[in-house]
Amino acid sequence: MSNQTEKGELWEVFLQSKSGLAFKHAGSVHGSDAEIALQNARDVYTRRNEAVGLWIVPSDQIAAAPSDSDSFFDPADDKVYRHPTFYNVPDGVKHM
Amino acid sequence: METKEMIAAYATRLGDTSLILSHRLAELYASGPTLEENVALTNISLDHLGQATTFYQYAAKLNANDLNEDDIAYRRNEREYYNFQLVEQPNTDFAFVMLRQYLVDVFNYHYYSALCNSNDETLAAIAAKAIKEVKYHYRHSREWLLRLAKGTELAYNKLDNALPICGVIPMRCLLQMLWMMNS
Amino acid sequence: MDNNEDYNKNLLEFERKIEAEEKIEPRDWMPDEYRQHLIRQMSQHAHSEVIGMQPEGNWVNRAPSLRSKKILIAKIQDEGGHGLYLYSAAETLGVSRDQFVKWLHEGKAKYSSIFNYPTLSWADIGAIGWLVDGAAIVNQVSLCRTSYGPYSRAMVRICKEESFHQRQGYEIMCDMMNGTEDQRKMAQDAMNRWWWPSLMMFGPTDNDSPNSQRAMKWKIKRESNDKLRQKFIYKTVGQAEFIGLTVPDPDLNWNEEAQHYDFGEIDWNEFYEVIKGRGPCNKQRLETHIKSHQEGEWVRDTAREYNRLKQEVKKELV
Repeated sequence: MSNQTEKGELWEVFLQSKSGLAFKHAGSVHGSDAEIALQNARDVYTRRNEAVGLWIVPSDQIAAAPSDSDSFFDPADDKVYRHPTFYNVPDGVKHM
Repeated sequence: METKEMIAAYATRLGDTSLILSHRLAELYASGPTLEENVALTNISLDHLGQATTFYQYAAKLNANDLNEDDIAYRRNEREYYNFQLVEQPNTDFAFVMLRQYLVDVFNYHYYSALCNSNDETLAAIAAKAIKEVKYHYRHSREWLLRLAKGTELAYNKLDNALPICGVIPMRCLLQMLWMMNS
Repeated sequence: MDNNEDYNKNLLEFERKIEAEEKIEPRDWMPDEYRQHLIRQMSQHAHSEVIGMQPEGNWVNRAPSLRSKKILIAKIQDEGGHGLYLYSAAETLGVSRDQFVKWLHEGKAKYSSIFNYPTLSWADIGAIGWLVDGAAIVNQVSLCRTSYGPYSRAMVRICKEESFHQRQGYEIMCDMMNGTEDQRKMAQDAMNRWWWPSLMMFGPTDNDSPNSQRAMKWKIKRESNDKLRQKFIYKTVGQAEFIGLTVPDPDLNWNEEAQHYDFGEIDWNEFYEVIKGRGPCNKQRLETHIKSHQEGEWVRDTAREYNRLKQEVKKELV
């Protein structure tokens, strides 16, 4: 069994609450492919009719501009999350 | 010319299939293959429960006695329910659950589409609302059926094992239907 | 590896943000202990929502009316959804959901102890919605102001959905207290069993809570355990009295001078026993979760395989 989320299975969700408004980031969702992820996103984020529009993007496909605090270390790091790959924690490590 | 009683019985029958299917789906609240799927299955369960409720409310109105939708839903003995037998089968595994759902969704799509043209305004209205939900359910069960049939061999075999319970003949016929709908 | 000077610069900037009530976002520098604390807290919060589906799901096939069944299914579904929001927020710190689930199954991660109690009657469903969700709301409203951005946003989302849960529970209690003698007894019995565990949801007293200090300094936690517990008691006692329920605490007393309730001593022995895994349902809750996860493996596998095959076909066509 895989101990980390497979590449391409985490998606960022963007919602458009009303026609004409901008899409806003709402969170993330898992899905083995776009179709499943889209359905999951709809079920999880629009149960109360919160959206007329819905986008999903694979998380690792988003490039982010460096923020101010980034200038202290790696300016070339352009992924959305501080740690773009998931930690593989060995078994037996305590309190991690 | 249908009597009120006949229409009430008809509405009750449609309600029964929705109610029992909703009940079976609700049992899966924590046993889907993913947390997302638990949310999806309970969603479908809620839709069917809503359909059952409106059918029963209509039947109660037509019967014009002291009984309401809860009485119709809860206070008959088991021989007085007229749901399809398919929906009362116990949940075995996910392959069965999705196959059952797929068959129900395809059926409902055609059935409710036709019911939208009913002379009875209330039934037509219930069908019109249900159709939107059915389309969404169909998309869900269809996508899962594809992943079960065209993924691993283990999944294919589980789907194959689920067919006899659903009373359908060979997998190939089903797959042909899928290819047709897929293209 | 940051050198000392960089570390101090980063720490100053981090502390400035905390002081200024600015949110810390996933890409921002943060002390490792801050990150670890949040990984643990957020994932355990997510686990709590998911395990919490079980005691309520116990009554989903026995809900006494179509309406109450619909509401209960919707509530359970919401809890699954809340778990998803929280896993999603926790994953921004670089640990996968698979890893969180693994830690839960290995007993290395906890979830809220309240869900280790059984639901013995329909009235328990009322008590859970009213008391347990009521306590959760007090905690979550406070957490809306937590310093970590994704956690705060998840809390805001959850709070919007939570109030319906509490109303659902209280309505059940109201109906029962306005019902037959048997129903009133059932409601009071549920009250008797869920009151104290609900108070325990707020954790140890402030003096016995070593993690709290650091969590407060970093504004992960915004109010102390005792303060939140008081808020809950304050708003709930009136609700109980309104429908004629007796709070099972002979020492409960409104303190006019202090403008809060004095209340009896919590059974901390019970509290720690349940945390350590010796509550009524700990074993069952975890086993159910493990079983369903394992049984779903073949489904997750076939979905991946389908996708892999599709990608291969695409590559061939290009």
